[in-house]
Amino acid sequence: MSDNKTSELGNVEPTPGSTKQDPILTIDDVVRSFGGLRAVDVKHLEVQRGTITAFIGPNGAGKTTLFNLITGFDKPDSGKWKFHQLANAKSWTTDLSGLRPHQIANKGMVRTFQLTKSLAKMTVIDNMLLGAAEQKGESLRNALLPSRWRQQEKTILEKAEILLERFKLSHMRDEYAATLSGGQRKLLEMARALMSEPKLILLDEPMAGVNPVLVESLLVHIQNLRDEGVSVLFIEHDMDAIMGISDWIVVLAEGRVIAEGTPSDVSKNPAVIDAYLGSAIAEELKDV
Amino acid sequence: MLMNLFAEIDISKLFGLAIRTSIGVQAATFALAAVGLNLHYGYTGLLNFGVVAFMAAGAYGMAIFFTQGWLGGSIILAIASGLTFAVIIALSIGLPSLRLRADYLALTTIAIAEVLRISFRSQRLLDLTGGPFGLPSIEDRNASVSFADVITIDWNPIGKGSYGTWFLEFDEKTLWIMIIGWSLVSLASLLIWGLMRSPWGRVIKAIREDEDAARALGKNVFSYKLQSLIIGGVIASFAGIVRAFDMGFVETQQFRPQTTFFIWTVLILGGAASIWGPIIGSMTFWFIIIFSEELLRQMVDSGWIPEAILESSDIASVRMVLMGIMLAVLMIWRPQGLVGKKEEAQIDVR
Amino acid sequence: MGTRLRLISGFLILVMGLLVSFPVFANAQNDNELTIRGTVRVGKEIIPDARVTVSNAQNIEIGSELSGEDGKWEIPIPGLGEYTVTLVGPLPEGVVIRDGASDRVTVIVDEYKSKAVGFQLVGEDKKPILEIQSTWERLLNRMVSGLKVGLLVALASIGLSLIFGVTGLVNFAHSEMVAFGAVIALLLESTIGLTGALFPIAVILAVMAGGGLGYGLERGIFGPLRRKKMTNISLMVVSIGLAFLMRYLILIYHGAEPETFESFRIQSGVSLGPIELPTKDYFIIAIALTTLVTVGLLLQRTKLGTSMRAVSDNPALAESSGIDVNKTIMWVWILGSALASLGGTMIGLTQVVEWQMGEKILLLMFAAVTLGGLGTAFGAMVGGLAIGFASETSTFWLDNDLKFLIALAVMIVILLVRPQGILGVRERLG
Repeated sequence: MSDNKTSELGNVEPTPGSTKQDPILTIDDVVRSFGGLRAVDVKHLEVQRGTITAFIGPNGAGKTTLFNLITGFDKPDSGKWKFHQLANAKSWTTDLSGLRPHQIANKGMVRTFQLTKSLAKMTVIDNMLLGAAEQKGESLRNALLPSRWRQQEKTILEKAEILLERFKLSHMRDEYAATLSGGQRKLLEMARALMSEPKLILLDEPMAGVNPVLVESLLVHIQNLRDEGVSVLFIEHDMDAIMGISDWIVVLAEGRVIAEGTPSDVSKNPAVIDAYLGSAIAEELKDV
Repeated sequence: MLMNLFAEIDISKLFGLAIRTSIGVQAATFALAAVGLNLHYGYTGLLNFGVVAFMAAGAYGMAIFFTQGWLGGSIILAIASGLTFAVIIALSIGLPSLRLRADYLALTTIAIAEVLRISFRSQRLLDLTGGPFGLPSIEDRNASVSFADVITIDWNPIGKGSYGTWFLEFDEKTLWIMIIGWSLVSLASLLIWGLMRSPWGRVIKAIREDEDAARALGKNVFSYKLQSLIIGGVIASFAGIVRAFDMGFVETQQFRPQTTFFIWTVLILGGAASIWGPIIGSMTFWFIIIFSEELLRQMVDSGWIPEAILESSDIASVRMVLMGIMLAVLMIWRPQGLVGKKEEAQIDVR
Repeated sequence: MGTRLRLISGFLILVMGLLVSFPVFANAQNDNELTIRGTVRVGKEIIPDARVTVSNAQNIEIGSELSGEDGKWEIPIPGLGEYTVTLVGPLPEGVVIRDGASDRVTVIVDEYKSKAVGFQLVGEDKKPILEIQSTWERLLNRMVSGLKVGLLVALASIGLSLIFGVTGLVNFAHSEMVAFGAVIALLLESTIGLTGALFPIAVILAVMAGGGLGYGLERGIFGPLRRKKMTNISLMVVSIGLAFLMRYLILIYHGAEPETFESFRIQSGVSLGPIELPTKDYFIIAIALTTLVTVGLLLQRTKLGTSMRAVSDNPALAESSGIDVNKTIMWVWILGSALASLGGTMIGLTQVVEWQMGEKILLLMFAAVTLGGLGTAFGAMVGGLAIGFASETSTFWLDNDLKFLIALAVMIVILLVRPQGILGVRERLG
């Protein structure tokens, strides 16, 4: 954790909505209600570039809804959020609000899902190849002219093989994704998301339903991503995992950001203890 | 007893008629429409219950332009108009409704197909579409004048006469349309094969599996679905056009919803999401239908089936009963059809 | 992008609609077309608003029209040949077919000119005076008749919607239950003589048979397949196969000939203020209304009804709160199919019983349930009423063959704008 990006976080105030030195994502006044109930109501939130940021909170805190909103899978009642593609260059930002999911993904912000969406009736390698961005052969103009995309396909294939190797899925290369175990599917989905070389990857409960042995390797993968310069934003319930790998934690309750800070800040924060009081997670927090 | 039955059955005729139909124009047009539907449903997962809308658009578009003498009465331009009409139908089905859930899309497409058919059938459109009587007009039909003449007579390279032997004897018109039909089937299948092995096809299949996954990976799902709808729709509209040339006229009766479900049966019988599925499906379908019909007819005629159970005039309806049984039984026990891959067959579009 | 797209698609639909409707409404008159025509009248008194249909030798309906204000009707035919012209009615109070004559006339058109056809009608008790109804009275009558059709569509659609609600299945075979009920009732009437005063017994038996068929389908086909984890889409395709199977079995064993219930051939009208309907229509409206209210009460007030609604809302939750989901689904099938059968016999009473009646009502029912909201019984009632009423009343202004367009157009618009229907609850995404 000697990375200078993460050390920058040491100077950030652990208060909700605090300003980061080099944010990759800033969210302003995003509200989403379901039948009068405010599922998400985030005043201001910044996500620091090059770090692993975790969203935690009790069930129904609005974590997944917030994910859905900022990736375009759901529409907010109001609010704006911006994506800063380049480090320390506030001018090179994109307003993501109102964009559709594929447009947001193409900006370099790719997500995974809580319930894995591995494409069951496609092979593992086809799943991977699909992940790559800006493929010439994906346009109808070129599809019937293999000469136009064969070269790129080869490059993508090599990249896919490397990623599969890294995620220990090479032996399943030509199997249908349906044959993978739950944990392997999580790995495949993450690897597939990486095919497009995202700047920010959003993982929705990557550890849920994964056996403990795989969890270890998943955590290593996530940390490796950060070390390679990919920013990671993830939702998780497994407190040990969160405390172990997160650089920054954002606590949500009833749709609002009630606290944020480093793992040690958060575990001492009385507001967090309050929000979790009585819940199992509170017990775990006290132990940390 | 059983020996008796065999003695009375004309086995040569039984197989002859069945084979004749399974390689005939009807089988070709059904295969062609099924190729189009295969792209929609087999590969993209679009529940299109309005296949006939595309066939009707192609056939009527062509027939209207030709009989009205628009665009100089050129048959090629008339065909092009039919195809354009099919594209317009694809856009007006697709733009608003591709975001709907699968079963809602099914209802919308079947409704749009019926709207189109009822409009064509309307007496107020008598001058344009011939209303319930179709095109060409009664007078022309009585005088044996048809839009098909250019294709079947003027442009027919095959000399007048009868070709083949046994039950497989065709006159030059039928043979020519058969050649056109099956060539189009081959071309369309080749096109789909080329598309589906490309990265474009990979995205299409991903959409069938899970739209949201494709979206999350940056694919413009809506645009791909629309492309699929248009390409498949144009292929299906060719089927309508070939059929119109074969029959020599267009009539709304040809485009009732049941035709859509014939084509669904063909596709599922052959195997959705496979290149050979529509072709094998159509040939097998017609073989089974004609074989059973002819067998029943012979059994009724020879008194093996008493009139009380089945009258010979009802045999034509047996075809529909068979289709119904085939559709249901295949869906339950063999959703991958004859040549489809089992792994890709279970349908769980939302 | 979303708005732009909506605008473009809205525009396209509008253009399509105009393209189609412009010539449709431009009232193309064709001078030299081949038609069968006539005037419905008793002596010098003309009878407007009586339906006349023409079928060809294969018994396929070629056209249908209501006699105009001058009693005249004219239906185009495709060519020379034999045609059957049927006077469906209704006839005003006191007017009947002359003894020995028929409501059906067969004509042979053997030359290229319009053929005139007349029906032999007499005024009962030689009551000669018939008042010509004013336009608004005719409209009112059409609306009442629309109400009747609406009630029947509602009756038939409840099952379709409820079955979708509890299982998620769009059951294409539902329409054949409608035909099934009518055919069974007809069979009972003609074979074991449940005519006249005994006719209600035939209806009750047909309704029971319908319920039994629903039980059989759930028990024998859809229940087991659902437990095999077949998806609803696959099951929908299975139901399409079943629909064809049933429809054409009805054709083979019932025949292609459209028939009417012997007990209630053409009845003369009975006046109730400005409204004039055949006696049977008053009964049909009353029966349909009572049944709908009863079903409503059943759903609201009884334990079974509550479980049906609970399973429809959330099967998992219903299961965990102690409701026997499978049993509930079974009852939905029985109830829905029985209602479809009842609807079918009633439709058979007002029109004809024929093998195609399922096919003809299928899209009307789909339109009704999507308008009301798939899955809700009350939605089906409201939707059925609205669709039946709108399509029937539209014939006052539009050609008869366009009345389905109204229903289909409503359905398409609802699916595009508000797929959950007017009474349905919007599904949460994600």
